[in-house]
Amino acid sequence: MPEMIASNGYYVAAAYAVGWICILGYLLRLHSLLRRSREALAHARTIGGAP
Amino acid sequence: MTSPELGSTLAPAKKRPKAGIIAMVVVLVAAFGWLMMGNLDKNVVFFLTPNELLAKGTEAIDVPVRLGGQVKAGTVTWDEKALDLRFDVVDTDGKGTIHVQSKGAPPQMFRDGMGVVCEGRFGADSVFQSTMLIIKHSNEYRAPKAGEKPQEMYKSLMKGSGS
Amino acid sequence: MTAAAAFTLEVPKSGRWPIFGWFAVLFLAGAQITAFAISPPDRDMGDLQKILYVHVPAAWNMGICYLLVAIYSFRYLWKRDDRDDLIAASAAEVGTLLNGLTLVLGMIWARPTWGVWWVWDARLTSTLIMFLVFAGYLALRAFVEEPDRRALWSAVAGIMGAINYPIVYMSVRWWRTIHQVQSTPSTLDPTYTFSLRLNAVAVLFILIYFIRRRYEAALTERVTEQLSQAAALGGPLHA
Repeated sequence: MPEMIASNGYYVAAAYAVGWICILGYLLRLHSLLRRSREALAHARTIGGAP
Repeated sequence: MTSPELGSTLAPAKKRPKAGIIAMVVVLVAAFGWLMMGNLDKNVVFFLTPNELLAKGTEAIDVPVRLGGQVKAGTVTWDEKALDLRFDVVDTDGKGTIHVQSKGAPPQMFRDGMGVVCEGRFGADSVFQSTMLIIKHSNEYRAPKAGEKPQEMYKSLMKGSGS
Repeated sequence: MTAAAAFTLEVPKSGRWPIFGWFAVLFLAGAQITAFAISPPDRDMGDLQKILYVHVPAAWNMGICYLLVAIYSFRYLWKRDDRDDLIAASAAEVGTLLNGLTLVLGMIWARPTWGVWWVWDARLTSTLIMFLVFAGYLALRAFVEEPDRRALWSAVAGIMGAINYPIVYMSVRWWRTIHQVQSTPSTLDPTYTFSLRLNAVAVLFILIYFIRRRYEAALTERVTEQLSQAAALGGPLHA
Protein backbone atom coordinates (compact mmCIF):
# COMPACT_ATOMS: atom_id res chain seq x y z
CA MET A 1 0.00 0.00 0.00
CA PRO A 2 1.28 3.50 -0.71
CA GLU A 3 0.80 4.49 2.92
CA MET A 4 2.93 1.53 3.99
CA ILE A 5 5.69 2.73 1.70
CA ALA A 6 5.43 6.23 3.14
CA SER A 7 6.19 4.82 6.60
CA ASN A 8 9.47 3.25 5.41
CA GLY A 9 11.31 6.34 6.54
CA TYR A 10 10.37 5.56 10.14
CA TYR A 11 11.94 2.11 9.94
CA VAL A 12 15.16 3.52 8.48
CA ALA A 13 15.22 6.28 11.10
CA ALA A 14 14.58 3.74 13.86
CA ALA A 15 17.39 1.47 12.65
CA TYR A 16 19.93 4.29 12.50
CA ALA A 17 18.76 5.68 15.85
CA VAL A 18 19.24 2.27 17.49
CA GLY A 19 22.70 2.00 15.92
CA TRP A 20 23.85 5.41 17.06
CA ILE A 21 22.42 5.06 20.55
CA CYS A 22 24.21 1.73 21.05
CA ILE A 23 27.56 3.04 19.80
CA LEU A 24 27.42 6.33 21.72
CA GLY A 25 26.02 4.66 24.82
CA TYR A 26 28.83 2.14 24.87
CA LEU A 27 31.38 4.91 24.25
CA LEU A 28 30.12 6.83 27.29
CA ARG A 29 30.13 3.71 29.45
CA LEU A 30 33.64 2.88 28.28
CA HIS A 31 35.02 6.28 29.18
CA SER A 32 33.42 6.27 32.60
CA LEU A 33 34.88 2.78 33.17
CA LEU A 34 38.33 4.00 32.14
CA ARG A 35 38.09 7.00 34.42
CA ARG A 36 36.88 4.97 37.40
CA SER A 37 39.51 2.27 36.93
CA ARG A 38 42.28 4.88 36.91
CA GLU A 39 40.90 6.58 39.99
CA ALA A 40 40.73 3.25 41.78
CA LEU A 41 44.32 2.51 40.82
CA ALA A 42 45.52 5.88 42.03
CA HIS A 43 43.69 5.29 45.28
CA ALA A 44 45.18 1.82 45.73
CA ARG A 45 48.65 3.21 45.14
CA THR A 46 48.32 5.82 47.86
CA ILE A 47 47.46 3.01 50.27
CA GLY A 48 49.63 0.15 49.16
CA GLY A 49 52.63 1.87 47.66
CA ALA A 50 53.52 2.17 44.01
CA PRO A 51 54.34 -0.96 42.03
CA MET B 1 39.08 -9.03 48.26
CA THR B 2 41.14 -10.04 51.27
CA SER B 3 40.07 -13.66 51.64
CA PRO B 4 42.98 -16.12 51.68
CA GLU B 5 41.96 -18.00 48.53
CA LEU B 6 42.02 -14.78 46.52
CA GLY B 7 45.53 -14.29 47.76
CA SER B 8 46.51 -17.40 45.89
CA THR B 9 46.79 -15.36 42.72
CA LEU B 10 49.92 -13.93 44.21
CA ALA B 11 51.63 -17.30 44.39
CA PRO B 12 54.18 -18.07 41.68
CA ALA B 13 52.61 -19.77 38.66
CA LYS B 14 51.95 -23.43 39.32
CA LYS B 15 52.40 -26.21 36.77
CA ARG B 16 48.97 -27.09 35.46
CA PRO B 17 47.90 -30.17 33.55
CA LYS B 18 47.42 -28.23 30.31
CA ALA B 19 46.91 -31.16 27.95
CA GLY B 20 44.12 -32.62 30.07
CA ILE B 21 42.23 -29.37 30.25
CA ILE B 22 42.61 -28.69 26.55
CA ALA B 23 41.32 -32.19 25.75
CA MET B 24 38.35 -31.54 28.02
CA VAL B 25 37.61 -28.29 26.22
CA VAL B 26 37.75 -29.99 22.83
CA VAL B 27 35.31 -32.68 23.97
CA LEU B 28 32.94 -30.06 25.43
CA VAL B 29 33.09 -27.94 22.30
CA ALA B 30 32.38 -30.94 20.09
CA ALA B 31 29.46 -32.01 22.27
CA PHE B 32 28.02 -28.52 22.29
CA GLY B 33 28.35 -28.12 18.53
CA TRP B 34 26.72 -31.49 17.97
CA LEU B 35 23.82 -30.56 20.24
CA MET B 36 23.37 -27.23 18.48
CA MET B 37 23.22 -28.87 15.07
CA GLY B 38 20.80 -31.52 16.30
CA ASN B 39 18.37 -28.94 17.65
CA LEU B 40 18.60 -26.78 14.59
CA ASP B 41 17.87 -29.73 12.33
CA LYS B 42 14.27 -29.82 13.54
CA ASN B 43 13.52 -26.38 12.21
CA VAL B 44 16.00 -26.14 9.40
CA VAL B 45 13.57 -26.95 6.62
CA PHE B 46 11.55 -23.83 7.21
CA PHE B 47 9.17 -24.41 4.30
CA LEU B 48 8.24 -26.94 1.64
CA THR B 49 8.42 -26.15 -2.05
CA PRO B 50 5.25 -26.63 -4.14
CA ASN B 51 6.70 -29.83 -5.63
CA GLU B 52 7.46 -31.23 -2.19
CA LEU B 53 4.01 -30.35 -0.90
CA LEU B 54 2.28 -31.91 -3.92
CA ALA B 55 4.46 -35.01 -3.61
CA LYS B 56 3.15 -35.58 -0.09
CA GLY B 57 -0.32 -36.14 -1.49
CA THR B 58 -3.20 -36.57 0.96
CA GLU B 59 -0.78 -36.62 3.87
CA ALA B 60 -0.29 -32.87 3.47
CA ILE B 61 -3.98 -31.99 3.24
CA ASP B 62 -5.30 -29.73 5.99
CA VAL B 63 -2.25 -29.82 8.25
CA PRO B 64 -0.33 -26.69 9.31
CA VAL B 65 2.53 -26.25 6.88
CA ARG B 66 4.70 -23.57 5.31
CA LEU B 67 4.80 -23.30 1.55
CA GLY B 68 7.63 -21.42 -0.12
CA GLY B 69 8.14 -20.50 -3.74
CA GLN B 70 7.82 -17.71 -6.23
CA VAL B 71 4.76 -15.67 -7.09
CA LYS B 72 3.92 -16.72 -10.65
CA ALA B 73 3.83 -13.66 -12.90
CA GLY B 74 0.39 -12.59 -14.03
CA THR B 75 -1.56 -14.71 -11.53
CA VAL B 76 -2.09 -12.09 -8.80
CA THR B 77 -5.61 -10.84 -8.18
CA TRP B 78 -6.34 -8.45 -5.35
CA ASP B 79 -9.81 -7.53 -4.14
CA GLU B 80 -9.29 -4.35 -2.19
CA LYS B 81 -12.75 -4.34 -0.61
CA ALA B 82 -12.77 -7.95 0.52
CA LEU B 83 -9.02 -7.84 1.29
CA ASP B 84 -8.80 -11.03 -0.70
CA LEU B 85 -5.51 -11.89 -2.37
CA ARG B 86 -5.04 -14.79 -4.78
CA PHE B 87 -1.96 -15.88 -6.61
CA ASP B 88 -0.08 -18.96 -7.75
CA VAL B 89 3.12 -20.13 -6.15
CA VAL B 90 5.60 -22.04 -8.29
CA ASP B 91 8.91 -23.74 -7.70
CA THR B 92 12.03 -21.97 -8.85
CA ASP B 93 12.07 -24.35 -11.84
CA GLY B 94 8.64 -22.96 -12.79
CA LYS B 95 6.83 -26.26 -12.14
CA GLY B 96 4.51 -27.41 -9.37
CA THR B 97 1.89 -24.67 -9.31
CA ILE B 98 -0.21 -24.22 -6.17
CA HIS B 99 -3.09 -21.74 -5.91
CA VAL B 100 -2.92 -19.61 -2.79
CA GLN B 101 -5.65 -17.59 -1.15
CA SER B 102 -4.66 -15.04 1.47
CA LYS B 103 -6.50 -12.47 3.56
CA GLY B 104 -5.32 -8.93 4.02
CA ALA B 105 -2.87 -6.66 2.25
CA PRO B 106 0.45 -8.35 1.48
CA PRO B 107 3.81 -6.94 2.61
CA GLN B 108 4.90 -4.04 0.43
CA MET B 109 7.51 -6.07 -1.44
CA PHE B 110 4.95 -8.55 -2.72
CA ARG B 111 4.99 -8.69 -6.51
CA ASP B 112 5.29 -10.92 -9.55
CA GLY B 113 8.28 -13.22 -9.33
CA MET B 114 8.98 -12.42 -5.66
CA GLY B 115 9.86 -15.24 -3.28
CA VAL B 116 7.17 -15.87 -0.68
CA VAL B 117 6.58 -18.23 2.23
CA CYS B 118 2.93 -18.83 3.17
CA GLU B 119 1.95 -20.24 6.51
CA GLY B 120 -1.35 -22.08 6.45
CA ARG B 121 -3.05 -25.24 5.26
CA PHE B 122 -3.38 -26.94 1.91
CA GLY B 123 -7.08 -27.58 1.44
CA ALA B 124 -8.72 -30.63 -0.10
CA ASP B 125 -9.91 -28.27 -2.86
CA SER B 126 -6.22 -27.82 -3.85
CA VAL B 127 -6.19 -24.20 -2.68
CA PHE B 128 -3.63 -23.23 -0.09
CA GLN B 129 -5.29 -21.11 2.60
CA SER B 130 -2.56 -18.79 3.83
CA THR B 131 -2.86 -17.23 7.26
CA MET B 132 0.49 -15.47 7.09
CA LEU B 133 2.39 -14.26 4.08
CA ILE B 134 6.14 -13.68 4.47
CA ILE B 135 8.39 -12.26 1.76
CA LYS B 136 11.59 -14.14 1.02
CA HIS B 137 13.85 -11.51 -0.48
CA SER B 138 16.70 -12.41 -2.80
CA ASN B 139 20.25 -11.27 -2.13
CA GLU B 140 20.08 -8.77 -4.99
CA TYR B 141 20.13 -5.01 -4.61
CA ARG B 142 19.84 -2.94 -7.76
CA ALA B 143 19.74 0.76 -8.39
CA PRO B 144 16.67 1.90 -10.35
CA LYS B 145 17.19 2.17 -14.08
CA ALA B 146 16.91 5.57 -15.72
CA GLY B 147 13.38 6.93 -15.37
CA GLU B 148 12.29 4.08 -13.11
CA LYS B 149 10.91 4.99 -9.71
CA PRO B 150 11.52 2.61 -6.81
CA GLN B 151 8.52 0.59 -5.69
CA GLU B 152 6.30 1.64 -8.57
CA MET B 153 5.95 -2.06 -9.32
CA TYR B 154 4.10 -2.76 -6.08
CA LYS B 155 1.75 0.17 -6.54
CA SER B 156 0.88 -0.72 -10.11
CA LEU B 157 0.39 -4.36 -9.20
CA MET B 158 -1.94 -3.54 -6.34
CA LYS B 159 -3.89 -0.92 -8.28
CA GLY B 160 -4.10 -2.81 -11.51
CA SER B 161 -5.70 -5.99 -10.24
CA GLY B 162 -9.00 -6.99 -8.74
CA SER B 163 -12.01 -4.91 -7.70
CA MET C 1 57.13 -16.01 47.61
CA THR C 2 58.56 -12.82 46.29
CA ALA C 3 56.40 -9.79 46.00
CA ALA C 4 57.89 -8.92 42.64
CA ALA C 5 56.57 -12.12 41.07
CA ALA C 6 53.01 -10.95 41.69
CA PHE C 7 53.27 -7.93 39.47
CA THR C 8 53.60 -9.43 36.07
CA LEU C 9 50.91 -7.04 34.87
CA GLU C 10 51.73 -3.48 33.99
CA VAL C 11 49.38 -0.55 33.97
CA PRO C 12 48.30 -0.20 30.33
CA LYS C 13 49.03 2.91 28.35
CA SER C 14 46.68 4.12 25.66
CA GLY C 15 49.59 4.96 23.37
CA ARG C 16 48.49 5.59 19.81
CA TRP C 17 45.34 3.44 20.06
CA PRO C 18 42.85 6.32 20.45
CA ILE C 19 43.66 7.31 16.86
CA PHE C 20 41.37 4.46 15.78
CA GLY C 21 38.52 6.39 17.36
CA TRP C 22 39.25 9.31 15.07
CA PHE C 23 39.54 6.97 12.08
CA ALA C 24 36.10 5.66 13.02
CA VAL C 25 34.63 9.18 13.14
CA LEU C 26 36.17 10.01 9.75
CA PHE C 27 35.00 6.82 8.06
CA LEU C 28 31.55 7.02 9.63
CA ALA C 29 31.08 10.54 8.30
CA GLY C 30 32.18 9.48 4.82
CA ALA C 31 30.04 6.38 4.93
CA GLN C 32 26.92 8.39 5.81
CA ILE C 33 27.51 10.65 2.83
CA THR C 34 27.85 7.80 0.35
CA ALA C 35 24.98 5.91 1.97
CA PHE C 36 22.45 8.72 1.99
CA ALA C 37 23.58 11.29 -0.56
CA ILE C 38 25.16 9.13 -3.26
CA SER C 39 23.74 5.60 -3.31
CA PRO C 40 20.17 5.56 -4.66
CA PRO C 41 17.20 3.75 -3.09
CA ASP C 42 16.85 0.13 -4.20
CA ARG C 43 14.56 -0.63 -7.12
CA ASP C 44 12.37 -3.01 -5.09
CA MET C 45 13.06 -2.00 -1.54
CA GLY C 46 13.32 1.76 -1.80
CA ASP C 47 14.81 3.55 1.18
CA LEU C 48 14.67 0.39 3.31
CA GLN C 49 17.86 -0.68 1.54
CA LYS C 50 19.71 1.83 3.78
CA ILE C 51 19.38 -0.59 6.68
CA LEU C 52 21.79 -2.89 4.82
CA TYR C 53 24.56 -0.44 5.71
CA VAL C 54 24.14 -0.93 9.45
CA HIS C 55 22.83 -4.48 9.75
CA VAL C 56 25.49 -6.19 7.64
CA PRO C 57 28.55 -4.36 9.07
CA ALA C 58 27.30 -5.17 12.58
CA ALA C 59 27.02 -8.85 11.65
CA TRP C 60 30.45 -9.04 10.00
CA ASN C 61 32.23 -7.24 12.80
CA MET C 62 30.48 -9.37 15.38
CA GLY C 63 32.25 -12.26 13.65
CA ILE C 64 35.62 -10.53 14.01
CA CYS C 65 34.97 -9.99 17.73
CA TYR C 66 34.10 -13.63 18.26
CA LEU C 67 37.15 -14.73 16.28
CA LEU C 68 39.27 -12.66 18.68
CA VAL C 69 37.45 -14.27 21.61
CA ALA C 70 38.35 -17.73 20.26
CA ILE C 71 41.99 -16.85 19.56
CA TYR C 72 42.66 -15.25 22.94
CA SER C 73 40.70 -17.87 24.86
CA PHE C 74 42.84 -20.60 23.31
CA ARG C 75 45.92 -18.53 23.99
CA TYR C 76 44.89 -18.14 27.62
CA LEU C 77 44.45 -21.89 28.00
CA TRP C 78 47.88 -22.37 26.50
CA LYS C 79 49.92 -19.60 28.15
CA ARG C 80 47.83 -18.76 31.23
CA ASP C 81 48.47 -15.07 30.70
CA ASP C 82 45.83 -12.90 32.40
CA ARG C 83 46.09 -10.33 29.63
CA ASP C 84 44.76 -12.84 27.08
CA ASP C 85 41.76 -13.46 29.31
CA LEU C 86 41.04 -9.75 29.51
CA ILE C 87 41.39 -9.24 25.74
CA ALA C 88 38.98 -12.13 25.14
CA ALA C 89 36.53 -10.63 27.64
CA SER C 90 36.72 -7.20 26.00
CA ALA C 91 36.17 -8.68 22.53
CA ALA C 92 33.25 -10.72 23.88
CA GLU C 93 31.59 -7.64 25.33
CA VAL C 94 31.88 -5.67 22.07
CA GLY C 95 30.83 -8.78 20.12
CA THR C 96 27.71 -9.16 22.24
CA LEU C 97 26.86 -5.51 21.63
CA LEU C 98 27.18 -6.01 17.86
CA ASN C 99 25.31 -9.30 18.06
CA GLY C 100 22.40 -7.55 19.79
CA LEU C 101 22.53 -4.77 17.22
CA THR C 102 22.50 -7.29 14.37
CA LEU C 103 19.36 -8.88 15.80
CA VAL C 104 17.49 -5.64 16.50
CA LEU C 105 18.42 -3.99 13.20
CA GLY C 106 17.47 -7.19 11.41
CA MET C 107 14.06 -7.15 13.07
CA ILE C 108 13.49 -3.50 12.15
CA TRP C 109 14.41 -4.41 8.59
CA ALA C 110 12.34 -7.59 8.47
CA ARG C 111 9.06 -5.96 9.53
CA PRO C 112 8.59 -3.77 6.44
CA THR C 113 10.35 -6.07 3.94
CA TRP C 114 9.41 -9.62 4.94
CA GLY C 115 6.22 -8.54 6.67
CA VAL C 116 7.12 -9.99 10.09
CA TRP C 117 9.40 -8.95 12.96
CA TRP C 118 10.76 -12.42 13.54
CA VAL C 119 10.75 -15.96 12.16
CA TRP C 120 12.25 -19.02 13.77
CA ASP C 121 14.34 -20.01 10.80
CA ALA C 122 17.85 -21.42 11.12
CA ARG C 123 19.64 -18.10 10.59
CA LEU C 124 17.68 -16.04 13.09
CA THR C 125 17.51 -18.82 15.66
CA SER C 126 21.24 -19.56 15.54
CA THR C 127 22.07 -15.84 15.80
CA LEU C 128 19.85 -15.56 18.87
CA ILE C 129 21.44 -18.66 20.44
CA MET C 130 24.87 -17.13 19.91
CA PHE C 131 23.73 -13.90 21.56
CA LEU C 132 22.41 -15.82 24.56
CA VAL C 133 25.63 -17.83 24.89
CA PHE C 134 27.68 -14.64 25.05
CA ALA C 135 25.22 -12.96 27.40
CA GLY C 136 25.86 -16.03 29.57
CA TYR C 137 29.60 -15.57 29.13
CA LEU C 138 29.38 -12.00 30.43
CA ALA C 139 27.16 -13.10 33.32
CA LEU C 140 29.68 -15.81 34.19
CA ARG C 141 32.44 -13.21 34.36
CA ALA C 142 30.33 -11.03 36.59
CA PHE C 143 29.53 -13.83 39.03
CA VAL C 144 32.81 -15.74 39.37
CA GLU C 145 35.09 -13.71 41.60
CA GLU C 146 38.24 -15.76 41.75
CA PRO C 147 40.32 -14.52 38.77
CA ASP C 148 41.99 -17.80 37.74
CA ARG C 149 38.80 -19.80 37.84
CA ARG C 150 36.90 -17.01 36.09
CA ALA C 151 39.50 -16.89 33.33
CA LEU C 152 39.48 -20.67 32.85
CA TRP C 153 35.70 -20.99 32.70
CA SER C 154 35.41 -17.92 30.49
CA ALA C 155 37.95 -19.32 28.05
CA VAL C 156 35.94 -22.52 27.70
CA ALA C 157 32.64 -20.62 27.38
CA GLY C 158 34.19 -18.18 24.91
CA ILE C 159 35.38 -20.95 22.63
CA MET C 160 32.01 -22.69 22.79
CA GLY C 161 30.28 -19.42 21.91
CA ALA C 162 32.64 -18.56 19.09
CA ILE C 163 32.14 -21.87 17.27
CA ASN C 164 28.57 -20.73 16.71
CA TYR C 165 29.70 -18.05 14.31
CA PRO C 166 30.59 -20.34 11.39
CA ILE C 167 27.28 -22.11 11.97
CA VAL C 168 25.42 -18.79 11.89
CA TYR C 169 27.32 -17.70 8.80
CA MET C 170 26.72 -20.92 6.87
CA SER C 171 23.13 -21.46 8.12
CA VAL C 172 21.64 -19.75 5.07
CA ARG C 173 23.60 -22.10 2.78
CA TRP C 174 23.21 -25.31 4.73
CA TRP C 175 19.51 -25.00 5.51
CA ARG C 176 16.34 -23.61 4.02
CA THR C 177 15.68 -20.25 5.60
CA ILE C 178 13.68 -17.06 5.14
CA HIS C 179 16.88 -15.08 5.43
CA GLN C 180 18.55 -14.76 2.06
CA VAL C 181 22.04 -16.04 1.35
CA GLN C 182 24.94 -13.59 1.50
CA SER C 183 25.01 -10.92 -1.16
CA THR C 184 28.14 -10.80 -3.29
CA PRO C 185 29.54 -7.99 -5.41
CA SER C 186 27.73 -9.60 -8.36
CA THR C 187 24.31 -9.38 -6.68
CA LEU C 188 24.95 -5.87 -5.40
CA ASP C 189 25.28 -2.82 -7.63
CA PRO C 190 28.74 -1.22 -7.25
CA THR C 191 27.31 1.87 -5.57
CA TYR C 192 25.87 -0.32 -2.80
CA THR C 193 29.02 -2.43 -2.48
CA PHE C 194 31.13 0.67 -1.97
CA SER C 195 28.87 2.18 0.69
CA LEU C 196 28.58 -1.15 2.46
CA ARG C 197 32.34 -1.64 2.61
CA LEU C 198 32.92 1.90 3.80
CA ASN C 199 30.41 1.38 6.62
CA ALA C 200 31.96 -1.98 7.46
CA VAL C 201 35.44 -0.42 7.75
CA ALA C 202 34.02 2.36 9.93
CA VAL C 203 32.53 -0.23 12.28
CA LEU C 204 35.84 -2.13 12.22
CA PHE C 205 37.61 0.99 13.52
CA ILE C 206 34.93 1.38 16.19
CA LEU C 207 35.51 -2.23 17.16
CA ILE C 208 39.29 -1.81 17.43
CA TYR C 209 38.88 1.33 19.52
CA PHE C 210 36.24 -0.22 21.78
CA ILE C 211 38.08 -3.49 22.41
CA ARG C 212 41.41 -1.78 23.10
CA ARG C 213 39.97 0.80 25.49
CA ARG C 214 37.83 -1.82 27.22
CA TYR C 215 40.94 -3.92 27.66
CA GLU C 216 42.81 -0.95 29.16
CA ALA C 217 40.04 -0.45 31.71
CA ALA C 218 39.93 -4.17 32.54
CA LEU C 219 43.70 -4.42 32.92
CA THR C 220 43.84 -1.33 35.12
CA GLU C 221 41.19 -2.97 37.31
CA ARG C 222 43.25 -6.14 37.54
CA VAL C 223 46.40 -4.27 38.53
CA THR C 224 44.40 -2.44 41.19
CA GLU C 225 43.01 -5.74 42.43
CA GLN C 226 46.48 -7.25 42.75
CA LEU C 227 47.75 -4.14 44.51
CA SER C 228 45.01 -4.23 47.11
CA GLN C 229 45.50 -7.95 47.68
CA ALA C 230 49.22 -7.47 48.13
CA ALA C 231 48.62 -4.58 50.47
CA ALA C 232 46.19 -6.64 52.52
CA LEU C 233 48.61 -9.56 52.74
CA GLY C 234 51.95 -7.96 53.29
CA GLY C 235 51.78 -4.23 53.52
CA PRO C 236 53.41 -1.86 51.02
CA LEU C 237 55.16 -3.48 48.10
CA HIS C 238 57.83 -2.16 45.87
CA ALA C 239 58.15 -4.00 42.64
